[in-house]
Amino acid sequence: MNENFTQDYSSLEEDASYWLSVFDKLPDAVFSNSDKCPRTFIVNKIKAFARAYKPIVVLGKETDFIIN
Amino acid sequence: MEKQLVLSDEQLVKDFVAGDSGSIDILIERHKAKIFSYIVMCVKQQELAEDIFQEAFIRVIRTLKNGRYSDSGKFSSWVMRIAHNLIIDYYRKQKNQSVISNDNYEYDLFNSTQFSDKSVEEQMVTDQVLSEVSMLVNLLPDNQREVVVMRHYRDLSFKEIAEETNVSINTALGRMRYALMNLRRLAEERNISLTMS
Repeated sequence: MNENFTQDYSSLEEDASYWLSVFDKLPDAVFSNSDKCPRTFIVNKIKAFARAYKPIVVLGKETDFIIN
Repeated sequence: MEKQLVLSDEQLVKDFVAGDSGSIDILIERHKAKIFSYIVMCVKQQELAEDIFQEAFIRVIRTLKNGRYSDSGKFSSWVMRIAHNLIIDYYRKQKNQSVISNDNYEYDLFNSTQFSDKSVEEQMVTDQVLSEVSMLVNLLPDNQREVVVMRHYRDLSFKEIAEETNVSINTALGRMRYALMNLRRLAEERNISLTMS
């Protein structure tokens, strides 16, 4: 017995593709003064990750290496 | 600040791959509003959008640092494409989680007496108990019987009962309390079991 919920995920995927095409065509400058941004601590975490992340190769396989 | 204004995305990517960590800061600051706006437009939840934004940039950083990035267009388009794939992954995960299936269980989850109709025997017991309760209610003093009937047979609130019988809510509650005490006593006196399975 299956119970399917009514959320239409196919249409959500279509919407996401539609918005991707719209945003892709918009010039980056349109967003230069936008206040729609992730919170500062999220951005700082990404920046910290960029500094800490070091890729290394172990036995021919790429492995992540993060230095705190 | 000057570097931020002068250098192209392509140059900043190259600098980051070459070891200049500050370059990714500029790229993030330059494009965060556009990429985040796109994600929010799709998922419509701030915290979920932040999770996807973070995961997208972590993939960007890994790809760049592992030398797997080939410059084939705008940087922001590339990051948005990564975010788009994460959004689709999220939708598909939600879709899979929202289906309840018995296939993975040895027993039928829905084959339970909890979901079944009452047997003839159970129905007879229920009818018998309800009949005896009705008989006991009829033995109550008028004002107590009135409250029980209004509350349990007509489904009125105590406020409505108080208004209809011109008494205070506390009086109506008190009458119900005495009615229940009397019903218990009457049932015990007559050795009547009011238990339904």
